[in-house]
Amino acid sequence: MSRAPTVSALGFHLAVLAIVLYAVFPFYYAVITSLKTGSALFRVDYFPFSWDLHNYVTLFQQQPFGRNILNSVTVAVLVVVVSLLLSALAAYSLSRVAFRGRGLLLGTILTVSMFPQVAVLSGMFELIRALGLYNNLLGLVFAYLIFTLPFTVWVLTTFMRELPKELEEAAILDGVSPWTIVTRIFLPLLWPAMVTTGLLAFIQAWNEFLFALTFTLTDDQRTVPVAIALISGGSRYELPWGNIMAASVLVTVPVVVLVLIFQRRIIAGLTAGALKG
Amino acid sequence: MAAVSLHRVNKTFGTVQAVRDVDMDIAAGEFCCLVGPSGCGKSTLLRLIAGLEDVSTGEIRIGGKPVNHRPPAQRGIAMVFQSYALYPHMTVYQNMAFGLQQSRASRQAIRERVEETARLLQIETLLERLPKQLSGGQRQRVAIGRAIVRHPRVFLFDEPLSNLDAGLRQQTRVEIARLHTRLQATMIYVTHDQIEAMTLADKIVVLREGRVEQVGAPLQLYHHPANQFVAGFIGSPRMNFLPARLQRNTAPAELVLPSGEILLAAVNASALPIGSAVTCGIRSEHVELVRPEDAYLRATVVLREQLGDHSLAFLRLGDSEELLTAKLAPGAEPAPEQLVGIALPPTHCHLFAADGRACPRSTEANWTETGVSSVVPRVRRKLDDSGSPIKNAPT
Repeated sequence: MSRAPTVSALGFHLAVLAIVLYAVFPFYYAVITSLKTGSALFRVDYFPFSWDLHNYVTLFQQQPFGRNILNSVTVAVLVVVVSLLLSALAAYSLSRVAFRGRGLLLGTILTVSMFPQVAVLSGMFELIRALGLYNNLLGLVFAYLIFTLPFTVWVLTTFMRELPKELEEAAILDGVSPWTIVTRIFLPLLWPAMVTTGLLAFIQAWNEFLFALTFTLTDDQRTVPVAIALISGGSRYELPWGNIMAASVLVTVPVVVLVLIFQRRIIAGLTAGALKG
Repeated sequence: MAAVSLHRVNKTFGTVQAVRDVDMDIAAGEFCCLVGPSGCGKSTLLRLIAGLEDVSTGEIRIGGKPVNHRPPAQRGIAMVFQSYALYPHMTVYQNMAFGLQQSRASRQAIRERVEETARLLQIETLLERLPKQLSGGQRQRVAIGRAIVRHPRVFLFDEPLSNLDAGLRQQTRVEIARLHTRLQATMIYVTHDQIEAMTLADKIVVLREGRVEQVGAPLQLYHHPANQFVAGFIGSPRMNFLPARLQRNTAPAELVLPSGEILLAAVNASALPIGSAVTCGIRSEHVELVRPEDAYLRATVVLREQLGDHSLAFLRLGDSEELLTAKLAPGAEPAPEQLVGIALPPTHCHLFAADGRACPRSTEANWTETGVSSVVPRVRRKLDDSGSPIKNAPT
C-alpha cells in the first residue's frame, strides 16, 4: 500500500519539473547566451561555459541603453501612478455612488480594453500629434492609459464594492468629505489590491512595443522594448545576438524582482475579496 | 440632549414604500426603542433620522429644528452600527479620535476626550490595539465609545447587540441602560428583540410594514396592546390566541369557542356586532391549571419545558392545531398526556376584532365597579343533553 503514494508523488514532482522547465528555460537560455561572445553564440550549449560580460559593456557603449532604461522606468512609473490615482477615484464613484448610466459606463470602460492596439493606432497617432506629444515620453504615458485604466478601474471597483457599506457611513457620520473617505478609509484597506493592479499595469507599460515604436522617433526617447528590437550590428547582415540577449536579461530582471518582492501582496490582493475587510 | 420628532415621514425605494406616514415624538433624554419584525422599516427609520437616507416626504426635527437638509455630521447624532463598522486599519484610539479630528479640535482636547470616554467604558488598556485584536464585546464597547466621544445630542443604535452571544448580550444591555442613566442622553434603539425593548425603553414604538402600530411605555404595550399584532409581538412566550365568536357585547363580553365552550372577557366590546368573529388573547402566565372536574375548559398536556424558576406547559385544547402555552410555578407541572382543566381569568383576557384591533380592556378598578370581582368567576362546565354548554352565572 505504501507504493501508490510514492508513485503519485513522483508523478506530481515530474509534472512540476516539466512546468518549471518550460517556464524558466527560455530565460535561462537568454542568460547563458548573453554571456557568450563571437562564434560561441552559434553553438548550442545548455551550461554556461564562458562568463564574459563583454555584451553588457558594449550594449551601453553602442547606444544610449541607460537612457532607454530610464525612459522605460519613467513611463511605467508615471502610468502606474496616474492610473491608480484616476482609477481609485473612479472606482469610488462607480462602486459607491448610485447614478444613472453606471452600468453603461462600466460596460463602455470594459469595451475600450477590447480594441486591438492596431485598431486605435492611427487615431491615437493623430491625437498625440495634435497634443504636441509626438516623440515625447508623456505621449507614451497618455497612450498607455488606454489599456491600463480599464483594467485598474474594473479591479478596484470590484474590490471597493466588497468593503462594508457601514464603514463609509460611519465616516460620513464622523463628518468626513468623500476625498478623505477615499484616501483615509478606503485606500489603506485596498492597498493589497492597489499593489496587485499597479504591478500588472507596470508590467504592461514596461513591455509595450507597438505604441512605443510608433510614437517615438529618436533613440533618446525610446523605451527598452523598442531599443532592443532596433539594436543593430556592424553590418546589415550581422545580428548582434549577444547584445540583444544581454538587453533582454537586463529588462526582465526588474520585473522578476518586483514580482518576488510583492509576491505575497499579490496573493493577498487576489484573495482579499474572500475575507472581510 | 435633544428631542426628536418626526412628522408624516415617508420613504420609498423605487416602488417599495419602506416607511409610511410615521409620526413620532421622542422627548429629550428619553430611551426609545423601535421594534418590529425584520423588514418592518425600523432600520430605515433610524437611517432617516441619522441622515444616511433622505426622506421622501415629511419632516424630521432634532432639538426643535428641521434637519431634513442637514448632512449627518451636522445633526448632532452618533450611531452605533450592528457590524460595529470600526475602521480596521486604525487603532482603538484612532477610531475614536477620527471624528474629532475632522472638527479640528486641538490635539490635547481630543486626547482628553478620548481618554475620558475610554475610562467610562473601561477600555483604557485597549487604546493602542487594532479592532482585529479585540473580542466581540470589546469591539462593541469601542463602537459605543466612538459614539460617546463626539458628545452627540442623540444616540442611534442599530441592533447593537445582535452579534454578541447570549451572556454578553445581557451584560451589555445592562451597561447600555446604566450609560443612559449616566449620560441622560436621548437614545433611539432599533431591535427585533422585544426583551431588549421591554428592559431598556422608556417608550416603545412597534412598527409593521413601515407603519407605526403602537407607541407607549413597555408595560402599557404589554397590558394594553392596541391590536393583535402588538399583543403577539410583545411578551415572551407569545400571547395565546383563541378564535371565537362574540355572543354578548356588553361587559363582560361573552365569547363562544368553536368547540362550544363559553369564555368571559372583561373588555368593552360594545363596538362589535354580536355574532362577529373575534380572537381571544391571553398571556401564558395567566393561564391557570385547575382540576379537570372544576373546569369548564379541558386540555391535554402535549409537552412541557423546565426553565428552572418556572416551566412552560403546551396544551392541546380540543382538537385545535394551535397549542396553548401556560407558564407555571416550579413543582406544579402536570405530566405529559395528562388531562387538565384550564381557567382563563376574564380580567386577563384580551379581545381582538377580526381586523386585529383590540377592544379596550377594563382596568381593575372599573371592572370591580361592574360588579364582577377580579377573582376569577370560574365557569363550571355543564352540558345539557344536546351537548351545548350552559353557562352558570358568575357567583
